[in-house]
Amino acid sequence: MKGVYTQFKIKGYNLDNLLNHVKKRKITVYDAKKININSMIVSVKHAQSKNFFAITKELCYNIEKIKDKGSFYPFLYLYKNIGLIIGSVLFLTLCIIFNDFIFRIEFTGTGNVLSRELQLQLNEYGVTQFSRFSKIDVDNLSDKLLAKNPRLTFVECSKDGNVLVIDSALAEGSSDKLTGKETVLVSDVDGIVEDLKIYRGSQKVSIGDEIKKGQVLVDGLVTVKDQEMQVNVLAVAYIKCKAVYEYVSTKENLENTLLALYEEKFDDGEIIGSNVTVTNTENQYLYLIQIEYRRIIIVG
Amino acid sequence: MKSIKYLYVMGFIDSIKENFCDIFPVPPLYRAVILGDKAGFFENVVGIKSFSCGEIVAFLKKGELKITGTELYIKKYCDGDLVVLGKIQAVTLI
Repeated sequence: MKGVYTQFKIKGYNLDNLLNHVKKRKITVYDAKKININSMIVSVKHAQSKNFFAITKELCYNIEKIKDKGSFYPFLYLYKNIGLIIGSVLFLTLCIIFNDFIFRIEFTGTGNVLSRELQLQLNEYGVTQFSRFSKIDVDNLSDKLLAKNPRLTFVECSKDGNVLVIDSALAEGSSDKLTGKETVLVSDVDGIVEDLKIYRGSQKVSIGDEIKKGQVLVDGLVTVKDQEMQVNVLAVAYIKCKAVYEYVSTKENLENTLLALYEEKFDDGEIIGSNVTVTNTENQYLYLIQIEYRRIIIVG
Repeated sequence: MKSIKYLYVMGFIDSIKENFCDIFPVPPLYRAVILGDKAGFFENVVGIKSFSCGEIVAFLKKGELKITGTELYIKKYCDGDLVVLGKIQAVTLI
Protein backbone atom coordinates (compact mmCIF):
# COMPACT_ATOMS: atom_id res chain seq x y z
CA MET A 1 0.00 0.00 0.00
CA LYS A 2 1.34 3.41 -0.98
CA GLY A 3 2.03 5.95 1.71
CA VAL A 4 2.69 3.36 4.40
CA TYR A 5 6.17 2.94 5.80
CA THR A 6 7.66 0.50 8.27
CA GLN A 7 10.21 1.81 10.70
CA PHE A 8 13.05 -0.43 11.88
CA LYS A 9 15.79 -0.10 14.42
CA ILE A 10 19.02 -1.73 13.29
CA LYS A 11 22.02 -2.57 15.45
CA GLY A 12 25.41 -3.73 14.22
CA TYR A 13 28.76 -2.67 12.84
CA ASN A 14 29.34 -0.86 9.57
CA LEU A 15 25.81 0.43 9.25
CA ASP A 16 26.84 2.81 6.45
CA ASN A 17 27.50 -0.12 4.19
CA LEU A 18 24.03 -1.49 4.83
CA LEU A 19 22.50 1.45 2.97
CA ASN A 20 24.55 0.58 -0.11
CA HIS A 21 23.57 -3.08 0.11
CA VAL A 22 19.92 -2.15 0.36
CA LYS A 23 20.17 0.26 -2.54
CA LYS A 24 21.68 -2.46 -4.73
CA ARG A 25 18.58 -4.57 -4.05
CA LYS A 26 16.43 -1.68 -5.33
CA ILE A 27 14.98 -0.83 -1.94
CA THR A 28 14.45 2.84 -1.22
CA VAL A 29 15.51 3.97 2.21
CA TYR A 30 13.63 6.76 4.03
CA ASP A 31 14.40 8.72 7.18
CA ALA A 32 17.71 7.05 7.96
CA LYS A 33 18.86 8.51 11.25
CA LYS A 34 21.89 7.47 13.29
CA ILE A 35 21.24 7.10 17.00
CA ASN A 36 24.81 6.19 17.79
CA ILE A 37 27.72 4.53 16.00
CA ASN A 38 26.16 1.06 16.21
CA SER A 39 22.46 1.75 15.85
CA MET A 40 20.26 3.46 13.31
CA ILE A 41 16.59 4.01 12.60
CA VAL A 42 15.45 3.42 9.04
CA SER A 43 12.08 3.45 7.31
CA VAL A 44 11.20 1.55 4.16
CA LYS A 45 8.00 1.20 2.20
CA HIS A 46 5.62 -1.30 3.75
CA ALA A 47 5.61 -3.39 0.58
CA GLN A 48 9.41 -3.71 0.73
CA SER A 49 9.63 -4.26 4.47
CA LYS A 50 9.83 -8.06 4.22
CA ASN A 51 12.67 -7.85 1.69
CA PHE A 52 14.48 -5.31 3.83
CA PHE A 53 14.08 -7.47 6.90
CA ALA A 54 15.43 -10.51 5.08
CA ILE A 55 18.44 -8.64 3.67
CA THR A 56 19.32 -7.16 7.03
CA LYS A 57 19.04 -10.53 8.75
CA GLU A 58 21.17 -12.07 6.03
CA LEU A 59 23.88 -9.50 6.67
CA CYS A 60 23.82 -10.38 10.38
CA TYR A 61 22.40 -7.12 11.70
CA ASN A 62 20.07 -7.08 14.65
CA ILE A 63 16.80 -5.69 13.36
CA GLU A 64 13.72 -4.74 15.29
CA LYS A 65 10.47 -3.45 13.84
CA ILE A 66 9.34 -0.31 15.66
CA LYS A 67 6.05 0.59 13.99
CA ASP A 68 4.13 1.17 10.79
CA LYS A 69 3.49 4.79 9.93
CA GLY A 70 2.27 7.03 7.14
CA SER A 71 -0.86 8.84 6.09
CA PHE A 72 -2.50 5.64 4.78
CA TYR A 73 -1.54 3.53 7.78
CA PRO A 74 -5.07 3.66 9.34
CA PHE A 75 -6.46 2.09 6.15
CA LEU A 76 -3.83 -0.64 6.24
CA TYR A 77 -4.63 -1.28 9.89
CA LEU A 78 -8.32 -1.63 9.10
CA TYR A 79 -7.54 -3.85 6.11
CA LYS A 80 -5.45 -6.11 8.31
CA ASN A 81 -8.09 -6.12 11.03
CA ILE A 82 -11.19 -6.71 8.95
CA GLY A 83 -12.87 -8.28 11.97
CA LEU A 84 -12.67 -4.94 13.73
CA ILE A 85 -14.58 -3.26 10.89
CA ILE A 86 -17.20 -5.99 10.81
CA GLY A 87 -17.53 -5.81 14.60
CA SER A 88 -17.83 -2.02 14.57
CA VAL A 89 -20.41 -2.04 11.79
CA LEU A 90 -22.36 -4.76 13.59
CA PHE A 91 -22.17 -2.86 16.86
CA LEU A 92 -23.35 0.39 15.27
CA THR A 93 -26.17 -1.38 13.47
CA LEU A 94 -27.34 -3.02 16.69
CA CYS A 95 -27.07 0.32 18.51
CA ILE A 96 -29.20 2.01 15.85
CA ILE A 97 -31.77 -0.80 15.91
CA PHE A 98 -32.01 -1.10 19.70
CA ASN A 99 -32.01 2.67 20.15
CA ASP A 100 -35.52 2.64 18.73
CA PHE A 101 -36.94 0.37 21.44
CA ILE A 102 -38.38 1.38 24.81
CA PHE A 103 -36.74 -0.73 27.50
CA ARG A 104 -38.23 1.11 30.46
CA ILE A 105 -40.83 3.78 31.26
CA GLU A 106 -39.86 6.15 34.03
CA PHE A 107 -42.27 8.47 35.81
CA THR A 108 -40.86 11.60 37.40
CA GLY A 109 -42.25 14.71 39.03
CA THR A 110 -45.11 15.07 41.51
CA GLY A 111 -47.45 13.34 39.05
CA ASN A 112 -45.46 10.18 39.77
CA VAL A 113 -48.21 9.15 42.20
CA LEU A 114 -50.49 8.65 39.23
CA SER A 115 -47.99 6.35 37.52
CA ARG A 116 -50.39 3.42 37.44
CA GLU A 117 -53.06 5.50 35.75
CA LEU A 118 -50.56 6.91 33.30
CA GLN A 119 -49.24 3.42 32.61
CA LEU A 120 -52.75 2.19 31.76
CA GLN A 121 -53.27 5.15 29.47
CA LEU A 122 -49.95 4.49 27.77
CA ASN A 123 -51.01 0.88 27.22
CA GLU A 124 -54.17 2.18 25.55
CA TYR A 125 -52.04 4.22 23.13
CA GLY A 126 -49.87 1.17 22.42
CA VAL A 127 -46.89 2.43 24.36
CA THR A 128 -45.48 -0.49 26.30
CA GLN A 129 -42.11 -1.99 27.06
CA PHE A 130 -40.26 -2.98 23.85
CA SER A 131 -42.51 -0.84 21.66
CA ARG A 132 -40.73 1.47 19.25
CA PHE A 133 -39.98 5.17 19.66
CA SER A 134 -40.34 5.72 15.93
CA LYS A 135 -44.01 4.81 16.16
CA ILE A 136 -44.69 7.32 18.92
CA ASP A 137 -45.07 11.04 18.54
CA VAL A 138 -43.63 12.07 21.91
CA ASP A 139 -45.05 15.61 21.87
CA ASN A 140 -48.47 14.37 20.87
CA LEU A 141 -48.30 11.73 23.61
CA SER A 142 -47.68 14.46 26.21
CA ASP A 143 -50.74 16.36 25.01
CA LYS A 144 -52.89 13.23 25.06
CA LEU A 145 -51.86 12.30 28.61
CA LEU A 146 -52.45 15.83 29.82
CA ALA A 147 -55.86 16.02 28.18
CA LYS A 148 -56.97 12.74 29.72
CA ASN A 149 -55.77 13.57 33.23
CA PRO A 150 -57.53 16.59 34.76
CA ARG A 151 -55.51 16.05 37.95
CA LEU A 152 -52.29 16.85 36.12
CA THR A 153 -51.20 20.34 35.22
CA PHE A 154 -48.14 19.44 33.19
CA VAL A 155 -46.92 16.38 31.28
CA GLU A 156 -43.77 16.12 29.22
CA CYS A 157 -42.63 12.91 27.56
CA SER A 158 -39.04 12.60 26.47
CA LYS A 159 -36.62 10.00 25.20
CA ASP A 160 -33.56 9.36 27.33
CA GLY A 161 -31.64 6.59 25.61
CA ASN A 162 -33.91 3.59 25.76
CA VAL A 163 -36.02 5.05 28.56
CA LEU A 164 -39.27 6.89 27.99
CA VAL A 165 -39.33 9.56 30.70
CA ILE A 166 -42.72 10.97 31.64
CA ASP A 167 -42.36 14.07 33.72
CA SER A 168 -45.65 15.23 35.19
CA ALA A 169 -46.90 17.61 37.84
CA LEU A 170 -50.11 17.48 39.86
CA ALA A 171 -52.56 20.35 39.52
CA GLU A 172 -52.53 22.93 42.33
CA GLY A 173 -56.16 22.38 43.31
CA SER A 174 -56.03 18.64 42.94
CA SER A 175 -57.28 16.49 45.75
CA ASP A 176 -54.29 14.29 45.13
CA LYS A 177 -51.87 17.05 46.03
CA LEU A 178 -49.57 15.63 48.65
CA THR A 179 -49.21 17.63 51.83
CA GLY A 180 -47.47 15.10 54.04
CA LYS A 181 -49.90 15.90 56.86
CA GLU A 182 -52.68 13.37 56.32
CA THR A 183 -53.13 10.86 59.16
CA VAL A 184 -55.84 8.72 57.58
CA LEU A 185 -57.07 7.56 54.17
CA VAL A 186 -60.85 7.71 54.01
CA SER A 187 -62.99 6.50 51.14
CA ASP A 188 -65.20 9.17 49.56
CA VAL A 189 -67.28 6.61 47.63
CA ASP A 190 -69.05 3.28 48.06
CA GLY A 191 -67.47 0.39 46.23
CA ILE A 192 -65.08 -2.54 46.25
CA VAL A 193 -61.37 -2.24 47.06
CA GLU A 194 -59.54 -3.23 43.90
CA ASP A 195 -56.00 -2.48 44.98
CA LEU A 196 -54.27 -0.83 47.90
CA LYS A 197 -50.71 0.46 47.94
CA ILE A 198 -49.50 1.48 51.35
CA TYR A 199 -46.14 3.19 51.66
CA ARG A 200 -46.76 4.42 55.22
CA GLY A 201 -49.62 3.52 57.60
CA SER A 202 -51.57 0.40 58.59
CA GLN A 203 -54.11 -1.37 56.41
CA LYS A 204 -57.71 -1.45 57.67
CA VAL A 205 -59.45 -3.20 54.77
CA SER A 206 -58.46 -6.01 52.42
CA ILE A 207 -58.53 -6.17 48.65
CA GLY A 208 -61.98 -7.28 47.51
CA ASP A 209 -63.74 -5.83 50.56
CA GLU A 210 -66.92 -3.88 50.06
CA ILE A 211 -66.58 -0.43 51.58
CA LYS A 212 -68.86 2.49 52.38
CA LYS A 213 -68.36 6.21 51.96
CA GLY A 214 -66.41 7.61 54.95
CA GLN A 215 -64.81 4.28 55.85
CA VAL A 216 -61.17 4.36 56.92
CA LEU A 217 -59.03 2.35 54.54
CA VAL A 218 -55.56 3.19 55.87
CA ASP A 219 -54.80 4.48 59.36
CA GLY A 220 -51.77 6.41 60.53
CA LEU A 221 -51.65 4.54 63.83
CA VAL A 222 -48.88 1.99 63.52
CA THR A 223 -47.16 -0.37 65.95
CA VAL A 224 -43.38 -0.28 65.98
CA LYS A 225 -41.65 -2.63 68.46
CA ASP A 226 -44.81 -3.02 70.62
CA GLN A 227 -45.25 0.69 70.74
CA GLU A 228 -48.10 2.49 69.02
CA MET A 229 -47.30 5.70 67.24
CA GLN A 230 -48.99 8.10 64.85
CA VAL A 231 -47.49 8.59 61.38
CA ASN A 232 -48.56 10.50 58.32
CA VAL A 233 -50.24 8.19 55.85
CA LEU A 234 -48.84 7.73 52.36
CA ALA A 235 -51.08 5.39 50.38
CA VAL A 236 -53.03 4.91 47.15
CA ALA A 237 -56.40 3.16 46.99
CA TYR A 238 -58.08 1.89 43.83
CA ILE A 239 -61.82 1.50 44.34
CA LYS A 240 -64.24 -0.01 41.89
CA CYS A 241 -67.51 1.97 42.09
CA LYS A 242 -70.81 2.21 40.36
CA ALA A 243 -72.77 5.35 39.50
CA VAL A 244 -76.45 5.15 38.52
CA TYR A 245 -78.34 7.89 36.68
CA GLU A 246 -82.00 8.04 35.79
CA TYR A 247 -83.42 9.69 32.72
CA VAL A 248 -87.13 9.92 31.90
CA SER A 249 -88.31 10.62 28.36
CA THR A 250 -91.23 10.02 26.10
CA LYS A 251 -88.90 9.04 23.29
CA GLU A 252 -87.59 5.57 22.85
CA ASN A 253 -84.25 4.20 21.54
CA LEU A 254 -82.16 6.81 23.33
CA GLU A 255 -79.80 4.23 24.88
CA ASN A 256 -76.71 4.92 22.83
CA THR A 257 -77.14 8.68 22.89
CA LEU A 258 -77.57 8.75 26.66
CA LEU A 259 -74.66 6.40 27.22
CA ALA A 260 -72.35 8.56 25.13
CA LEU A 261 -73.62 11.71 26.85
CA TYR A 262 -73.17 10.42 30.39
CA GLU A 263 -69.79 8.89 29.64
CA GLU A 264 -68.60 12.20 28.22
CA LYS A 265 -69.94 14.10 31.22
CA PHE A 266 -68.53 11.67 33.75
CA ASP A 267 -65.32 12.81 35.44
CA ASP A 268 -65.19 11.02 38.81
CA GLY A 269 -62.72 8.39 37.66
CA GLU A 270 -61.66 6.02 34.95
CA ILE A 271 -64.66 4.33 33.26
CA ILE A 272 -64.42 0.53 33.26
CA GLY A 273 -67.84 -0.34 31.84
CA SER A 274 -71.34 1.01 31.28
CA ASN A 275 -74.82 -0.12 30.36
CA VAL A 276 -78.39 1.22 29.98
CA THR A 277 -81.65 -0.46 30.93
CA VAL A 278 -85.03 0.87 29.76
CA THR A 279 -88.43 0.47 31.50
CA ASN A 280 -91.64 1.53 29.83
CA THR A 281 -94.29 3.00 32.19
CA GLU A 282 -97.43 4.88 31.10
CA ASN A 283 -96.06 6.19 27.76
CA GLN A 284 -92.85 7.17 29.46
CA TYR A 285 -89.49 5.57 29.20
CA LEU A 286 -87.25 5.33 32.24
CA TYR A 287 -83.63 4.98 31.26
CA LEU A 288 -81.30 3.66 33.96
CA ILE A 289 -77.69 4.43 33.10
CA GLN A 290 -75.10 2.51 35.08
CA ILE A 291 -71.46 3.53 34.87
CA GLU A 292 -68.80 1.36 36.46
CA TYR A 293 -65.62 3.27 37.17
CA ARG A 294 -62.37 3.15 39.07
CA ARG A 295 -61.79 5.82 41.70
CA ILE A 296 -58.22 6.45 42.76
CA ILE A 297 -57.62 8.09 46.12
CA ILE A 298 -54.15 9.25 46.95
CA VAL A 299 -53.17 10.47 50.39
CA GLY A 300 -49.78 11.60 51.55
CA MET B 1 54.86 -3.51 -28.92
CA LYS B 2 51.45 -4.23 -27.49
CA SER B 3 51.77 -1.47 -24.91
CA ILE B 4 52.73 1.05 -27.56
CA LYS B 5 49.74 0.05 -29.58
CA TYR B 6 47.54 0.31 -26.48
CA LEU B 7 48.87 3.79 -25.69
CA TYR B 8 48.28 4.78 -29.25
CA VAL B 9 44.71 3.58 -29.08
CA MET B 10 44.16 5.31 -25.76
CA GLY B 11 45.52 8.57 -27.18
CA PHE B 12 43.25 8.20 -30.12
CA ILE B 13 40.25 7.65 -27.86
CA ASP B 14 41.18 10.64 -25.70
CA SER B 15 41.40 12.87 -28.71
CA ILE B 16 37.97 11.70 -29.84
CA LYS B 17 36.64 12.36 -26.37
CA GLU B 18 38.05 15.90 -26.32
CA ASN B 19 36.60 16.70 -29.71
CA PHE B 20 33.30 15.11 -28.80
CA CYS B 21 33.10 17.07 -25.56
CA ASP B 22 33.57 20.30 -27.44
CA ILE B 23 30.50 19.49 -29.48
CA PHE B 24 28.41 17.77 -26.76
CA PRO B 25 28.99 18.96 -23.20
CA VAL B 26 29.82 16.19 -20.73
CA PRO B 27 27.17 15.67 -18.06
CA PRO B 28 28.21 17.05 -14.68
CA LEU B 29 29.82 14.84 -12.01
CA TYR B 30 26.95 15.46 -9.69
CA ARG B 31 24.06 17.83 -9.39
CA ALA B 32 22.99 19.37 -6.13
CA VAL B 33 20.08 21.52 -5.13
CA ILE B 34 20.46 23.09 -1.71
CA LEU B 35 17.41 24.67 -0.11
CA GLY B 36 18.80 27.20 2.34
CA ASP B 37 20.51 25.26 5.04
CA LYS B 38 17.56 22.94 5.64
CA ALA B 39 17.75 20.41 2.84
CA GLY B 40 19.94 19.17 0.02
CA PHE B 41 19.08 17.07 -3.01
CA PHE B 42 22.00 15.29 -4.70
CA GLU B 43 22.01 13.34 -7.96
CA ASN B 44 24.56 10.85 -9.35
CA VAL B 45 25.41 9.45 -5.94
CA VAL B 46 26.91 5.99 -6.32
CA GLY B 47 27.10 4.98 -2.67
CA ILE B 48 27.49 6.14 0.87
CA LYS B 49 30.89 5.98 2.45
CA SER B 50 30.07 7.16 5.93
CA PHE B 51 27.07 8.58 7.65
CA SER B 52 26.60 10.34 10.94
CA CYS B 53 24.63 13.26 12.38
CA GLY B 54 27.46 15.68 11.65
CA GLU B 55 28.80 14.39 8.35
CA ILE B 56 27.71 12.40 5.31
CA VAL B 57 30.29 11.27 2.76
CA ALA B 58 28.88 9.98 -0.52
CA PHE B 59 30.69 8.26 -3.40
CA LEU B 60 30.34 9.83 -6.81
CA LYS B 61 31.35 8.32 -10.14
CA LYS B 62 34.57 10.23 -9.75
CA GLY B 63 35.52 11.35 -6.28
CA GLU B 64 33.50 11.88 -3.14
CA LEU B 65 31.04 14.42 -1.84
CA LYS B 66 31.22 15.53 1.76
CA ILE B 67 28.22 17.14 3.38
CA THR B 68 28.82 18.63 6.82
CA GLY B 69 26.34 20.11 9.24
CA THR B 70 24.36 19.29 12.33
CA GLU B 71 21.41 16.92 12.95
CA LEU B 72 21.78 15.50 9.48
CA TYR B 73 19.77 12.55 8.34
CA ILE B 74 18.96 10.85 5.07
CA LYS B 75 15.38 11.56 4.07
CA LYS B 76 15.51 9.41 0.97
CA TYR B 77 18.16 7.29 -0.70
CA CYS B 78 17.51 5.39 -3.91
CA ASP B 79 18.89 4.96 -7.45
CA GLY B 80 21.53 7.68 -7.44
CA ASP B 81 19.42 10.20 -5.57
CA LEU B 82 20.13 11.33 -2.05
CA VAL B 83 18.01 13.73 -0.04
CA VAL B 84 19.62 15.04 3.11
CA LEU B 85 17.75 17.03 5.75
CA GLY B 86 19.15 18.85 8.73
CA LYS B 87 21.28 21.96 9.10
CA ILE B 88 23.72 21.84 6.20
CA GLN B 89 26.84 23.92 6.69
CA ALA B 90 29.04 22.88 3.77
CA VAL B 91 29.11 20.68 0.68
CA THR B 92 32.62 19.81 -0.47
CA LEU B 93 33.82 17.85 -3.46
CA ILE B 94 36.82 15.72 -2.49
